[in-house]
Amino acid sequence: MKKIISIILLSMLYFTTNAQLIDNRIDLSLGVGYISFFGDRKIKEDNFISPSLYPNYSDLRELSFKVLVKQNKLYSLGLSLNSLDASGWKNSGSSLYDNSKIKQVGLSPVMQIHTKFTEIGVFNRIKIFLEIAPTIGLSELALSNPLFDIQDQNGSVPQPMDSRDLFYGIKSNVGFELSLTRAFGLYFSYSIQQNWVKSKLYNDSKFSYSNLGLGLVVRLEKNKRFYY
Amino acid sequence: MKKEIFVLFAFLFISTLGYAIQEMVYKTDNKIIYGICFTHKGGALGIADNNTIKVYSTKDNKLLNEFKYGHKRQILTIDISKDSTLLVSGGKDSTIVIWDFVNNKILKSLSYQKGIITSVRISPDKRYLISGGTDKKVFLYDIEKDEVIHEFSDHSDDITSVKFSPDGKLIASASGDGLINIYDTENFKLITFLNGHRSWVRDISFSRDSTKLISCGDDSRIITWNISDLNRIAIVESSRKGFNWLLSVDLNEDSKTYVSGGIDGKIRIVTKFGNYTARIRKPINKVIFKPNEGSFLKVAIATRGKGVILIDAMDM
Repeated sequence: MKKIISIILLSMLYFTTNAQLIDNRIDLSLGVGYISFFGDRKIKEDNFISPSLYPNYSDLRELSFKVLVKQNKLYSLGLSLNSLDASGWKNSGSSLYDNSKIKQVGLSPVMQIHTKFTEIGVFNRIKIFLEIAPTIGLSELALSNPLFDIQDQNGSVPQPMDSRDLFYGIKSNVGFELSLTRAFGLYFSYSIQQNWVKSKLYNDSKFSYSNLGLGLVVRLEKNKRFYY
Repeated sequence: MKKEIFVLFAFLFISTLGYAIQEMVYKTDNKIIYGICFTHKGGALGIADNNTIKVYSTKDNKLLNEFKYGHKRQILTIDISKDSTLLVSGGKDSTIVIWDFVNNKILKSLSYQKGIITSVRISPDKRYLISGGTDKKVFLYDIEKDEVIHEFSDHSDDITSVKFSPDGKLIASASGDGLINIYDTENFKLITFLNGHRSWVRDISFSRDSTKLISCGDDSRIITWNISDLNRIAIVESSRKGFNWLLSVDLNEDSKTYVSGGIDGKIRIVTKFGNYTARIRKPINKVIFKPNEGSFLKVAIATRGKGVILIDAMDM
């Protein structure tokens, strides 16, 4: 049954895409991303080895919202808001951050270079793009267990269980948009992001990840003077 | 897997059924055509193809004539006088050209309008020419006196369509401001404006007896106006056709049947006996009835991407 539905959906795509579109000025994108962190799972500092925080997370999800305003036939400027959730921390040699969770929110001004919209042909419906986006954001770590057990004469000393840290970075993104109708389309993208962070609860000074994204594009503000 | 393949083919077959209409495609260099016009009796069809106007016979579909070297850029609008002696054209080069339709000569090249010319029309008595464009103005030009006799500046957005009423007493102009203005050709005064569309009005068409006007626009609405009494103009019918921009509408000679074409590629012929629908699968810039066909409805369609097509309602 799933195959039949997929086949019908693919066939419908053929029919819905086979119409010419009008150039638009504003794109709103809403999507999800499948994240993979890069980097060593352990950090070596002098003779001290500690587990990394970010590369050991296995359950990662990202939601993104982006608005782009076309400035020219070849480039657009906009703003992107991303929210990342990470859990499932696992390291074979340590249980330091077991059951911890990370929530990140990042804001990025986006510059997108894209293919020129054409009245007929493939580029009437498909837009291939390359994006560069500096990012600033907040990374919030929530621990389930204290990192250290410190005792004084009154018993255990309370330990910080969470931390909020500012991070900054840069993201490069390539992908394409497929317009299905004059109002809606889909996008597929692949991005690599490098970020720098400083925290009291972990030793990672930078983290990087790749993001395979897909989502819905809402096309707004059509060119009413499309034929001039 | 065989079952899935069968389902796919069945689906494709059923989906294709609705599009299998017979059509005559006229040969054009550019597949994106904006301006088409029949001669009064429907014997020939003029097509604005880039900066050239091609005239085809509608009997054997042969190329009869080509009007060249009048425009430097794409022509967006053309009109042929009722007696088929004059042809006018306007386009992206902001130039209006009056041609001798019989001898294929340029009679006048006019450049009084500053913006892109989106619509031109010759009056039924062949004396006047009206034009509208992106400068938001409508000009009335006296062909005999060779001068602009009035400039109408009441619209606040691009002019999309201008028409003379068949009795020659009225001028109607449609605009991106959502209004249709009605002017008196004798005193050049704005008689009234029709406010019914919620977005750009793209096209208008008068009935043969000048008592009705039909309009379409980006709000997907087709509005029929009763203009028999200009002091009491009323909407006879207003209907929404889908959710796409309707770019062209034309009233047939019986003043009841109309055809509309939209950016979704759908053509609808609405008659008192029922409706015909066809899908060209390319946006429709202009759709007009072929004159003198009686109850055998034929429509010429200028498309974005498929040139010009002539279809018979019986095949729809």
